[in-house]
Amino acid sequence: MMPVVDGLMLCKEVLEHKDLQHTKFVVVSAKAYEFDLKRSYEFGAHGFIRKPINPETFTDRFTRILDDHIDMTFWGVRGTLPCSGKDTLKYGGNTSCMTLEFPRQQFFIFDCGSGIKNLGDWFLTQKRKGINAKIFISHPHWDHINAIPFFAPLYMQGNEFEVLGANQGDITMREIFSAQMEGVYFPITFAQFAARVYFHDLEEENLTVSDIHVQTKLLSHPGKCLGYRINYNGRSICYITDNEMYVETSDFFDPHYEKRLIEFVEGADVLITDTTYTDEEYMTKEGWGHSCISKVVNLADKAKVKQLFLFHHDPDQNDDAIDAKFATAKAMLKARKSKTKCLAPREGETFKV
Amino acid sequence: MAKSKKKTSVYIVDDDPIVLKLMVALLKEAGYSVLSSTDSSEVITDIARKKPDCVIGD
Repeated sequence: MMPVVDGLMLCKEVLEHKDLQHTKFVVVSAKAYEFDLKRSYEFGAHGFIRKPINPETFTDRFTRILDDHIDMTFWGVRGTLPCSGKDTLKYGGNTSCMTLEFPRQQFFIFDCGSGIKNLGDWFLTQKRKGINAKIFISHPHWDHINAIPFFAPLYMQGNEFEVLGANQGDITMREIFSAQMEGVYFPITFAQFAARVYFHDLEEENLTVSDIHVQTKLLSHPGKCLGYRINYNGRSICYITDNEMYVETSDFFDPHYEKRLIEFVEGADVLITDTTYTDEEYMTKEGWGHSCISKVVNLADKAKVKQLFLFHHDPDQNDDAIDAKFATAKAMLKARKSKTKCLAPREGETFKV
Repeated sequence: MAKSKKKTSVYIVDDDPIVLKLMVALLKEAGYSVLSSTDSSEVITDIARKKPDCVIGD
């Protein structure tokens, strides 16, 4: 290994060279200390990959740095209850879990529905060590936290997770997280996590994680439920679930809430949002805390989001029903001459943002 | 994606020949055009001449 100063001096020489103005520099180093990572970024490095080289992850990591893209992966796209069977194979049957992996290694997990089990397995197949991730919880209804005990990286020493979400009055995120692992409900307790796990109660606020900016907003749903807007280097991803936008004829319709929500997601590159019901289904589900297709289309179009991702499907909907919702949403956007593109992500699918 | 990778050139500088060989193999397999050196002294001159899209350094 060359002394670190040599590598960093080479970084400086490359980035300051008049003929290399478009050349990026990636540090690959056996130095595992946080100091060395920060020092590399201070010298202007575009990325930092620790040795030993992991053949399972190296190329993906390098490409993510070079392209400066975020990998957005869906591990569970359903709401309310996991469902199984041949009619759910296309979109998958797991409940809410989505991840963002950034060029500089930051890893964000949104919700711990049953999809997080597959995320844990994926980490294991990649032989990842020293996982450092933030877990953003929208709210603690079961379908968003029910697989916490089955997320294997929590039981591995050297991993570190910060759990962020809204408290529920006098119940903190830590209490919410640990309560479902009390002996009555599950035989392994929260105290048996080998990873370092710590908690951060959120309100409506802005926070910064190195070069990533996170905004939160309280959503329309029973209890305290937070929506997130993630801004990174000119791109933005909004994760808005669970959320009920009442129809205009409802006594509970709140135009001020919708206006604020439109402002919150305005111009986003990606809007992932609760599209639990068809408009017909919603007629008997008002007040259940979820939205129907026409309201979601209206939000995405008015806010001029670039890509709308339909999310949090009802467990009574099979693949054909989700296909039909998808077709309806696209038709509604077309009828509005909207520039918003609509997608229906499947479990396991990754998008580059 | 594969198309853009083929156009992308990477210059790797690492004094460990085994690690260097591994990185070269992985990036070539992914479709990158790869140049390499185990010697960091004076390598900047060659890098400036080749103008790679990215330099990997230890």
